[in-house]
Amino acid sequence: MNNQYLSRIKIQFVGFLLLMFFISQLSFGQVQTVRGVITSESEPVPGALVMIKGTQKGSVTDNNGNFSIDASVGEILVVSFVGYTSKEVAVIGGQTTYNISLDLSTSELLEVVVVGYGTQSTRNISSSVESVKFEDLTKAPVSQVGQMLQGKILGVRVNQTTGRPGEGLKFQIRGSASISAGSDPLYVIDGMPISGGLNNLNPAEIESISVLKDAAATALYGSRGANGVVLIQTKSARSGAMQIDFDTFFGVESVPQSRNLKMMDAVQYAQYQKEIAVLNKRPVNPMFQNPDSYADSGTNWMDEISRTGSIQSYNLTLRGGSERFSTAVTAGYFNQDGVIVGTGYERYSLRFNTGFQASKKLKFSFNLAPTFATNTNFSSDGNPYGAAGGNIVSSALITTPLIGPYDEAGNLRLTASDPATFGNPNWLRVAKDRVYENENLSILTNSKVEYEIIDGLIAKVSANIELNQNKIFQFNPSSAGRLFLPPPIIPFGSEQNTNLNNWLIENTLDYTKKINDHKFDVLVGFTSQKSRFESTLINGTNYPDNKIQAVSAASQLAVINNVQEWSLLSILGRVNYSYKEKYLLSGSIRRDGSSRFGPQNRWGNFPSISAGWVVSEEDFWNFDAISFFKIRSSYGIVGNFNIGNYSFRNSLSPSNYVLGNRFSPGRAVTNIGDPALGWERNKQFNIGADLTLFNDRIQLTYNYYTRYASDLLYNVELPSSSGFNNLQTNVGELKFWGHEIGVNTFLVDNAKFSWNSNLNVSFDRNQTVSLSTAGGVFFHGLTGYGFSSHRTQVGRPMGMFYGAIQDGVYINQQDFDSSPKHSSSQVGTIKFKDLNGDGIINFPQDYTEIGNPWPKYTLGFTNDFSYQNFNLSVVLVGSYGNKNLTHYDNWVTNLDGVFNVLEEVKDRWKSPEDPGKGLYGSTQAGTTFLERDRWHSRFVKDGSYLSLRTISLSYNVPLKENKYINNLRLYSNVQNALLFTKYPGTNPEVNTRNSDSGINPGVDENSYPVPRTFSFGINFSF
Amino acid sequence: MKRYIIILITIMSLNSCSEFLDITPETLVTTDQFFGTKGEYDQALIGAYQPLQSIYNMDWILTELPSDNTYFVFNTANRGPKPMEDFATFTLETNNVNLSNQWTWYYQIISRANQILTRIDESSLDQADKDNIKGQALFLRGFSYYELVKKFGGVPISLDVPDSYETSFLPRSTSEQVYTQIVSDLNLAKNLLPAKKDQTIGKANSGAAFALLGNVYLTQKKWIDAEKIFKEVLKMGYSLLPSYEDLFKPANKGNLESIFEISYLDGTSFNVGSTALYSFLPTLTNPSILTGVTPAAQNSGNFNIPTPELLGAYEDKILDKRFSASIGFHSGPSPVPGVVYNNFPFIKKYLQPHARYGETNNNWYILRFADVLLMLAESLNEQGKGNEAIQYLNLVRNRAGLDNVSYTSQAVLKDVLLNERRIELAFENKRWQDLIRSGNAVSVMNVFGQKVISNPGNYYYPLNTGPLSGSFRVSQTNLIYPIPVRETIVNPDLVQNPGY
Repeated sequence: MNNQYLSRIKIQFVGFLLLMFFISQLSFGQVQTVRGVITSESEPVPGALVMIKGTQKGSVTDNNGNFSIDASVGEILVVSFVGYTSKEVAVIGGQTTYNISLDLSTSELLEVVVVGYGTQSTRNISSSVESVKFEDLTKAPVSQVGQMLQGKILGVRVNQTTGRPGEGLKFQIRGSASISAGSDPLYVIDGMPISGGLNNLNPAEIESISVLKDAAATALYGSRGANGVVLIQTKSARSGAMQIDFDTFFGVESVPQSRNLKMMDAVQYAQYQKEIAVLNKRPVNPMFQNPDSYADSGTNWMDEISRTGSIQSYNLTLRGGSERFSTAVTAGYFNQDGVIVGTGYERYSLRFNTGFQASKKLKFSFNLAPTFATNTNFSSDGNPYGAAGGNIVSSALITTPLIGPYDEAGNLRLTASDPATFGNPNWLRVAKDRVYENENLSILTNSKVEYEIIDGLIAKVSANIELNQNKIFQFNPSSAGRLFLPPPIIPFGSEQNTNLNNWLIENTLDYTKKINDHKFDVLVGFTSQKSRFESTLINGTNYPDNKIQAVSAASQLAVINNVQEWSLLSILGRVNYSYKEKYLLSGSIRRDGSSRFGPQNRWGNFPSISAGWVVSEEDFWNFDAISFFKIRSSYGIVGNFNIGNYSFRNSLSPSNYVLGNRFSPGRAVTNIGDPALGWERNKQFNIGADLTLFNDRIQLTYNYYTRYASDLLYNVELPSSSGFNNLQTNVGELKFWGHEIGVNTFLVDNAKFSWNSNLNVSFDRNQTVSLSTAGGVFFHGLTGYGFSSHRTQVGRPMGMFYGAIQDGVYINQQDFDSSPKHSSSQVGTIKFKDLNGDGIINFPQDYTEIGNPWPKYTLGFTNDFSYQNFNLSVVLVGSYGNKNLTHYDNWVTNLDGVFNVLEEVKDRWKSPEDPGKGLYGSTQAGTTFLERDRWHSRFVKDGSYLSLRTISLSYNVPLKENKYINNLRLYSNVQNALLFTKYPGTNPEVNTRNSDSGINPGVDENSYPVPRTFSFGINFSF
Repeated sequence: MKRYIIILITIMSLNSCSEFLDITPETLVTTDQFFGTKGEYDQALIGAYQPLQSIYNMDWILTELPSDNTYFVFNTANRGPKPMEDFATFTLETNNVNLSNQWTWYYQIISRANQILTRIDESSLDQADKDNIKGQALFLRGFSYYELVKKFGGVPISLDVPDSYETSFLPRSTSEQVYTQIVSDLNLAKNLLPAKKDQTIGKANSGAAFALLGNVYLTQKKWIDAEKIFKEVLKMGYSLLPSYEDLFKPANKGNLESIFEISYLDGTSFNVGSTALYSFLPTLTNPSILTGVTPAAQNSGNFNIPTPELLGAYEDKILDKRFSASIGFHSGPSPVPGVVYNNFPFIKKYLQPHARYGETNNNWYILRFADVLLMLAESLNEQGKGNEAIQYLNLVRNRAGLDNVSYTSQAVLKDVLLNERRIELAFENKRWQDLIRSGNAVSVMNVFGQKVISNPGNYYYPLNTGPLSGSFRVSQTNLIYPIPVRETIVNPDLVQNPGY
């Protein structure tokens, strides 16, 4: 970090502390101990929280609902418990016993949720915010936060794009996508916008999660709000009796056989090879002569590299403290052995949140959260050709079933090739021998001082630091070859070290005031943030042998350094106003200055306004069936700043040559910059309503939104004759719109049995409005065959699949003679439609839009049943109408006979008399490339699915009152229980090529399968 | 209370300053910080040379493989190299990656040269430095346009630095316009550049500019201009090395015969070695049996394999020392299905001692004196000065160990010269252009194709495989390549070459 700024932080801090010291008045009133019983419908409520309002002081009721707490006269007791309406009771002089009765609340409308820079009662929110509490999340024992949120939040799609341990959850809020800037939401943990995602966050540390969806909610995050914001509040420190919670679960995971691609078995494969040889008039190799002889043998390579995985998790949470000091500590350990041999994930995490109430007016809080996570997930997702080490899933699928991983003596073979295939390594051996160690240490700290200057006016200063250190060490020994590079290979390795340091200082003033029926909440703030990322990658090649793995042992080293830095300076303000809690008005603005944008466009303003009307509060409202009815609407502008840090500059990078027979370092202008590069602006509009019906039994939420993304950031393609291939610039406008419907019901709710059902459905759409590129169109996605897989065109949704339309195969000579042809076409090869009618098949002239990757709707459906001490929770998630592009067809249906292929390839064209089903063409050598090396409609498959994501059953063990255990819960869970889909690939949620922007959706190039997990756990509270 | 709020606001505003938002990249240099000193111009020039390394690791695909000099081994198991095979079998498609690579790389050189040329006149460098740097940039630009116009016909002419999306779009020029630009660049360069003795090995010198200009005239069939320029080169102190074999030894980089060569260096950490050799060797599980380099892994190989026609073109495989220096033979097993090496020919010229698998220390000749002598002879013969032409031809023959030939007729000498170039410059990426210039390309390649189709086994096809129907339908349209499809998609105004 730059020293200048460090010292500035210091000055700022010391200054503020001094200020606080001078003006704090450490005074308390007359203190007495008050006691009482908290009940509901005459039954005691154990575990309810009794707090002194405005302090950290609190106590938790015991099994009989008893509490005791020290309070001064005039202070207010706040009693709260999940599922009940909070109650406030003032402490009166002379009265020490307070028996307080709570009312059951099925409605969540009175909840307070975390919003940007504060909290707000859901009743008073006029923007679009969804929130989930920890209690609702922890029903499923999973390792990642994203897994918990699947199907739970209206308008939020969380896809598990890969099953790699500890990875793969992709958030998309309201179908967000940008044509090149990222589509990920901004993640904010305890006020700190973090750099990475949530992969390494221990879910047990979380108290609540809020998702901000519309501009009115996100405008306070200004230039980073366009894709929505996910706010995570960790378990805060709270005084009161020490509460200890211990939770552990174990599970086993495996991939259901039905989910793997169905490849040919040994008999089918040998038959296939035999037929290819005969068709090509080659001698049949003896190995393929008698296919039936393999009836009892053969190797399923996906099975060979798979195993039964396991997970285990331990979490210990302590919460409590005195009236001055309070603390919440969560220590967690999680370990996962992945279902692919050699992969795994391990996480040690600790979170230490403390609060210190120095006086009635002065409060300090400190959060410290170190996490150490490691994984051994070597490359698994993607095509079998690229990657230095080769991707194991696609490679294993296409390995010959005639050779097993072990030789006759039981030793692992080096290679697994047969006479028809090119040299392949033994993938089980690769999985075992290849070294991949990824170690990640991250530390997140928040320090905050709050001072109540006058009644209702709170000044806050917070300093937040995110540190991240990552090391990835890889070593490919001589046995770890890949496709086309059979072992022994020359060993190679690499070591990458990265360091991230991201700090944020925020100063805010918040004033809340109620004058008669008018309630104001005014916030102003000033923030500065800077992030610096440094990485050093050392690639070692030409190791003499496998004996020393350290990169220093390589005979050739190449070092790549990267430093990325950005800074952001902002001022922000917000006013919330409500009249009689009936008319709600809110406005906010943030002004951001970012180092990422050209000097001409450095600063941007992001305003928003929202209004709400609680119609049911009006005197004329006399529909008893509808107890609550709110209409709300918002409009605002937010930005997207996810472009490279230095894109607007013309820059030179190293470009070397040899002169005088000596290495000569040089430079070349490799980036053409646009000094006018500016913010991608999102104008967002939202209108919605919240309804509560039939004594709070049914809650309805509806939203309609539109979002115009203008000045789209795109790395637009340039003619290479300019010397450059791309220019990062603002190119056009996209429109997003959609409807969201949420239904939450409490159909049965009595002491013995309750049934809560929550359905949310989102209809998200997008359309390209304008583009400044030539012809109002541009192409993107996979470009390996010289043609792009996706097309974005004015008037159409962005990122549509683009290719030829298959029209069967040329069945016979007559068909061939009478049909348009490509120069390589022959009888039996794939036939495409001649779209431009010129009598010949050529590309891109005969390309068109061949599929829509965007779902028509997505849904989440959660049902909770409680019967006495049992609870059953079932979560369904689904997506309908989206198509995937199975690029894996390129290798798993390769007709050259060099790989194993899908079983269905047996129904291919074999002769005019046996033309197959018209899907797969002839295996005539040299005629097959068109079928696999062009984008066409056979690669496009329906990706709709309905997934029974979670079934969890828990049992609260009834305990007699004792000193030790408050609560004991046993639970078991099935994750990814069932999948209903026509999609033939392993995972319909897959997205091999969609790490960032969301522009190239729906590509399947084989990925780590998502396992089904059975787990069992115990939860104790002391 | 007011006082405290003021203090608070003061504290809050402490860290507001605009330089906070000015972040300069640490691993990049921006153009406004560059192009000041001679050192910076030198670096920019190195950057302009750099794409030549990538180009000449692959150039044989576009310039040798399509000719009757070389072919490839068809690998039924690995169809990945199809885009390379398509050059040999005349089945090119517009999406060929080798075309788009070359297009992009040459325009990178042009763009980097333009970055220098648009600034150098205003710079504060010494006149001598200015001339040298400008001369090299002009040479590189002229050279690039020459390579582009030969391969693609009339291409867009970019002489400026684009500064926006709009200014980066250019239409195709005619090939005459491109040649005019080339001649203009080289004429300027040849007068600005220092002589070979005053120039670092690897940099373009005045001899290179002269020889290249002569070559351009020859391609344009401006025989008189070509003769005049080549005769200038004769005066510049170049001579043939006594031994043909020595030409290719890494120790002889920049030798007396060398006029312009692409520089490579092995053993560094920067990937500046030559990789072409490993494409030319037979594919072997352990290529160290040929290279002597360990550790080794299975190489790609089996491309640019000498054809029976080429082997037969040597007058005398023993007397002509170029045979044993250029071509080696290997027998043994192959990891390629259906292939066994049985006295299998491969390019030996570039098989020189090196230290690491996959990377060699060979420079690649663009122009050498023997080439100039033969081009001079050709320009003379085309003017009917056959007797004068013969003496230059015989210089080349004698060095190879062959006797003099004597002049009989212009037509015969034309054929003799074409064959002499084929042998002398075998695998130096000249044959395809020689065939085009001689007007023989279409007929020669159709004849060659028929032989491959009727006897695929002679052209290294495994049993019962052969070229696809549709191969070797060679016509005039095959003499230039298609504009890469990406370019016609990005800029729909670029008109595709006929036949693609």
